[in-house]
Amino acid sequence: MVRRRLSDDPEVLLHAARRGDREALEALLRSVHGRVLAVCQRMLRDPLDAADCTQEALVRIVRGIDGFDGRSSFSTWCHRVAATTALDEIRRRGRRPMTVPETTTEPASSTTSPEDSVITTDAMRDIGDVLATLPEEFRQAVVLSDVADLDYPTIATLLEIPVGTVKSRVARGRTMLRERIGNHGDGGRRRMGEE
Amino acid sequence: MDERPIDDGSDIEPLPDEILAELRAVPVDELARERAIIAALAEAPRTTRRAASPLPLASAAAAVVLLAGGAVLLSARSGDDADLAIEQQVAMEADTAEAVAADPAADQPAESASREIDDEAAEELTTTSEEFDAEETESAAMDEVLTAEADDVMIDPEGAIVPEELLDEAFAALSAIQAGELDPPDTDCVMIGGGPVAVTRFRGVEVVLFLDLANATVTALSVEDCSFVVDLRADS
Repeated sequence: MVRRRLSDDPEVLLHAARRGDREALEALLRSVHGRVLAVCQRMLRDPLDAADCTQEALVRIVRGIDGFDGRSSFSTWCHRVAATTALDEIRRRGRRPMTVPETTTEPASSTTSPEDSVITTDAMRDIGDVLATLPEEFRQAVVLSDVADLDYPTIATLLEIPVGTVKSRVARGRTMLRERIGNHGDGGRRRMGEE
Repeated sequence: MDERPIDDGSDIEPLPDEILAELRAVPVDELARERAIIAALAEAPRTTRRAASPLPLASAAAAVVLLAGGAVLLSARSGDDADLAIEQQVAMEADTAEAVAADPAADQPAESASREIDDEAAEELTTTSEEFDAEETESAAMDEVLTAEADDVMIDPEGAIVPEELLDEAFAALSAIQAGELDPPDTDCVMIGGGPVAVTRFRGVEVVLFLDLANATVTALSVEDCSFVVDLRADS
């Protein structure tokens, strides 16, 4: 199978993809797939939903690539598309957030509020489980800010809330995440260090 | 829920890099990834083509072979015509030579002219034949190139393909079909819920692969009699 060498430069790939070069387009999609999946996974939590969300986001990226105006980086634009797709999915299904996943964590202590709950079980597999314990609005704010790398005004637009509220939620979400990881003790830190 | 604005956001403490890295790293299901990319690429305009795909090259080579074949036929026809013309010329000039031969004084030159004409005709026939042979050889070489390229793309001549490779081959073929680079194989076999994407060889049997995207399964049926050969599930 003949394979030509493609540039690693996203700008070059983008230019080529817009001219109809399918290999360049495929390379672009592969380059953003991981983060798109991460956005979907952290937003939706369910792996199957995340896979569907990722596929839909990539489709939207291809459909909209000619309309990409270059005001942000291509990757940031893709992350925004992924975030929009995930939020659409959340809204479409009318989900209520589940602050604690059933599978890998024990219920929060009855002496603590859900918001302040601390993961204390070794069954916690990764940071995704800790993140899942955050209230939905804080989790979404953290994911959009720190996984999707979106700026506050963009997040505000997506979530349809004031920018000040976005900042508040991001700050609170990060604080809760740090605390819960820290309170989890060496186990959580050690696991992250290992990975 | 406490949503007090903290500040303007400029001094919001960022997450440590290791936590950020962990947040951004999620396990990737390779099959789901390929499926997503294939689905996305299918949305690209059909007019676009891969710049360095071997399949267009094969198509171009096929066109060359067709042209070469046509040229060979034309050449053969031309050769026949040339032969006819030469024979007519030989006959005509032989008549002339015979007429000249009636003149005893012209006997020697007439024989010489007749020999020259015969030699010329023989040489032209030889040249035509050599050109025909050369073009036929070129055509055969092209056929070999085409066959080799087709084998590279679709068929393992040894039949030493492992089941997992059928999955890869089926998805690759689907991708090529969706990209407009490859036509679905022409087959009489039918599978409910799956479409034919490729013909290949599996354990010595020529099979047609049916891909069922909804169930992520690939079924191989014998090309010869559409009998079941193997069924593979992508996530198994």
